[in-house]
Amino acid sequence: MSEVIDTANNINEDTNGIALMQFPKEVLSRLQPDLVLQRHLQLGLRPSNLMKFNEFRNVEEQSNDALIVNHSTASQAQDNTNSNTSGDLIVANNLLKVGNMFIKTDLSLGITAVETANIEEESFAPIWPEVTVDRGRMGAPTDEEMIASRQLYENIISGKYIKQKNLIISKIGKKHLESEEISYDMADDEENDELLLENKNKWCFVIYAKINVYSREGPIYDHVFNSLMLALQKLTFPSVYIEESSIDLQISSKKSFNKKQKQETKRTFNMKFDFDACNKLNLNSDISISSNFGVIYKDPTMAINVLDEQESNEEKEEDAMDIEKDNTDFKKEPILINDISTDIEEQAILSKVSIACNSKNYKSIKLMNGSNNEKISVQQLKQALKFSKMRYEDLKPTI
Amino acid sequence: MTNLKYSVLPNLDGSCELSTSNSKVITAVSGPLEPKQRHRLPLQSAIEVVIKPSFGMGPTPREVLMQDKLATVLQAVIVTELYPRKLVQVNAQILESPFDEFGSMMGNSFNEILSPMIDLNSCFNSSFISLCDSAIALKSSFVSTLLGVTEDKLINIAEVSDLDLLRSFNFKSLHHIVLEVEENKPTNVLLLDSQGDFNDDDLVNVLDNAQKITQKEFQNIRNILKDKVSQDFIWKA
Amino acid sequence: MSVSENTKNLIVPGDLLTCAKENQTIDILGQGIYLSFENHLYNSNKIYPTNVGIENYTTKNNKNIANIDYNSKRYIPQQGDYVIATVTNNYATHFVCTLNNFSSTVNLPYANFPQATKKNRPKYENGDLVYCRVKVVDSDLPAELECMDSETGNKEGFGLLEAEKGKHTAILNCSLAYCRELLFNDKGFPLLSDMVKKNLSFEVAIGINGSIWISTGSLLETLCVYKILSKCEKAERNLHAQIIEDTIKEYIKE
Repeated sequence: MSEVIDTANNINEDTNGIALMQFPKEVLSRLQPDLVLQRHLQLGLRPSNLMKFNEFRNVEEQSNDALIVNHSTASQAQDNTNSNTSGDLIVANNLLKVGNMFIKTDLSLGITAVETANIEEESFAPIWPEVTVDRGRMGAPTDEEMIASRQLYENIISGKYIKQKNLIISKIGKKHLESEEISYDMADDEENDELLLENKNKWCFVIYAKINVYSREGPIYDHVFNSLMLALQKLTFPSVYIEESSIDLQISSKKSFNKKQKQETKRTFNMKFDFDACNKLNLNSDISISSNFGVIYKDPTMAINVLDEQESNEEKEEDAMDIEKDNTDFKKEPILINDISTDIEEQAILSKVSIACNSKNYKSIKLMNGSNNEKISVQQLKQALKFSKMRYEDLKPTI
Repeated sequence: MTNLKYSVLPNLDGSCELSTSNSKVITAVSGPLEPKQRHRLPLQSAIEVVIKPSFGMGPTPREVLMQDKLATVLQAVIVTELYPRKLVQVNAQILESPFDEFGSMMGNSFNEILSPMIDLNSCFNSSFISLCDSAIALKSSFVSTLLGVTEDKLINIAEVSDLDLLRSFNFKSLHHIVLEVEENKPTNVLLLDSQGDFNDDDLVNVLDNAQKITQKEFQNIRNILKDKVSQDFIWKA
Repeated sequence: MSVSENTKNLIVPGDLLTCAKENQTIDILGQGIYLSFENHLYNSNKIYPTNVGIENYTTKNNKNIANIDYNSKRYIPQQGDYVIATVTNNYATHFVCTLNNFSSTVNLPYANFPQATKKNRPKYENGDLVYCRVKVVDSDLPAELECMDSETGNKEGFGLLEAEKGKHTAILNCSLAYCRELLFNDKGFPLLSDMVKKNLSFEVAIGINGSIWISTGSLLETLCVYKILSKCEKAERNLHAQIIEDTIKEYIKE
């Protein structure tokens, strides 16, 4: 802030021995984020792009469909599945630009065996997320990354977005050796009926989410959640088939003398994805949008009196003394900040609430008062709930 | 009914063992300690929370999230400016959780969320007694409540002793609420962690009920503290 | 005042203090009562209790003093307190000592010994116990100890706690309130006098950081004193005489 530097300049040649230092805005905001935020609040603005208190950052969904597997890349990738050099197949993705922050979500699939008889109607599937904040460091995940990942995992289950039943692979196809055609109807092929029947309802998709955050600004969780939700909406499941060649392999193993080994080998299949026949995921519940809010009090002791600037420095010092004396007039004024959006705000605002909702219901609320002097009251919570509903309506066109 | 035992670990500044109908934790508080360099804050004390799960190695991401919630609330309650450049360490060990049995998480998918909430709820109440026992300066008292909303009922989860019943509830939403208690009355919300499907009416209903439970639970805690103070000065009587 | 009567006025953090209820002016805030800067500025100087205990009001020199009596285990240095410090390190100008395990260290400068000169430097080893007084407490610096009365320059009984030839010593850790009572309230709490009356002879140094140092002529006597002091901490007042008698019988007169 310019005022701070001015003041520092004037009293620079203090005879106390300790010279006053002056800092550029960027440095001061790292040293004293609370002071910088308070100075902005006095002006009725916020540090990032001079936003209003109730303003949200602009959210843009950027299309990067090129990264998703299309038919040609999929078939290429399939050929490599055994060596697995191509990495995971990305089945849905999302690139979200929030202010200056980018969030990239890639969804990929895995297959696991389940006992379908045990799956209840009201059983909901998780997504296995891995959140990485890219800031040029290596090593174990930070607490922030672990917290965001775990929170995503819990909120996806509790939000009841994906029914476990919808992830079961009900039909498994077979690729014919000669014709290279894939048939999903087992009546066609009587020879391998038994095999296909055996595999019916036995396998189940698992959804993995790899989320990268670039140029992090402020708390990430809500934006990461929104990005995941948008990606989830685009999620399609490929069909799964078994190559006839791999079935042949299994027949040859029948000649083994070891009976036990025969049982083992029988269970190995080479399951492959067929991206020509995709099914869209039926979400059990509408996706929700998460937004965060913070409460901070305007601190009158940190205010710069506009009149002071015209007066001399000596008088200014006297004014500062006066502030200490008649403290009875002081009142702290709470301010609800929408969308905590810079490091300054993140560090200075200790009481935060994050709300996920859709048009019908709230899906999750996480309110944490980290300061005893600046608590979120029930009234402010109500206000935040209202804003979060509005935010959902705002972002719906993007959805 | 919550059962509390204070000062269970004689070599630590403050400790407490808490058992509800379905969970059991032991917490310990030490402080103000000499912190490591990276924990040193110029104007206030740092708060370190470590939660160990009932089985396996920890803290895993599940516990890291719990630690974060507990540490944030303690930040608001402890008078941190009294101990600048010091460390207050809170340790919690989950002793029993209703989902310890192998396979008990299966079936109801809400169990995955319920399990850390039950653990954390117990950690909150137990760490309050531990903090009182350690004589660390507190701004106010707090009581934690865990409520579940089903189709037609509101359930105080700490009072459900039948584990099979607990695992099979069809919860619409779960609410973990920590309320500040001032002058024997619940006042501010320190933590509200709600998950599931719920609307404004549910929220109001849950907060109302949490206040009632808090009021009752605080009397219990007060009696325990009364007992603690008279034990502390037993040689005087 | 009995404790059961006292616990009626149990104060828990967040409670309203009686003085605040009755709008009484408090001039000095003691332990367990706090006025935050926040309340000073915006809340018309509202004070609040920070610890669980019993509220206590006294008036000295026309000043109202309020504090909360509570017991604890970890000692936080306060000016003028008598403490037993453990030497852990030494530098060119001072010893580094601890008053509690894992607490911040405190300094004991060589200049704070009687007849200190540049060459006359006390030779203490790491691990030695020193009976001293807290001289200065500054929130931004380690606390400073002294081993003399800085006004008179006399030794005043401070210094190294070491076993003389043929003596047996022990150190007992107990709660802070118990130590305070033993040290300051010998009339109201005559446990040590009672022990002497039973023909126990011992030397004792009480540090209110929760350490009691005992020195007697024999190992059995040391054990006996140690046991009595630690048992009495956990027992009601009317049982103390019995404990003293029983323990003496157990260790000495057999």
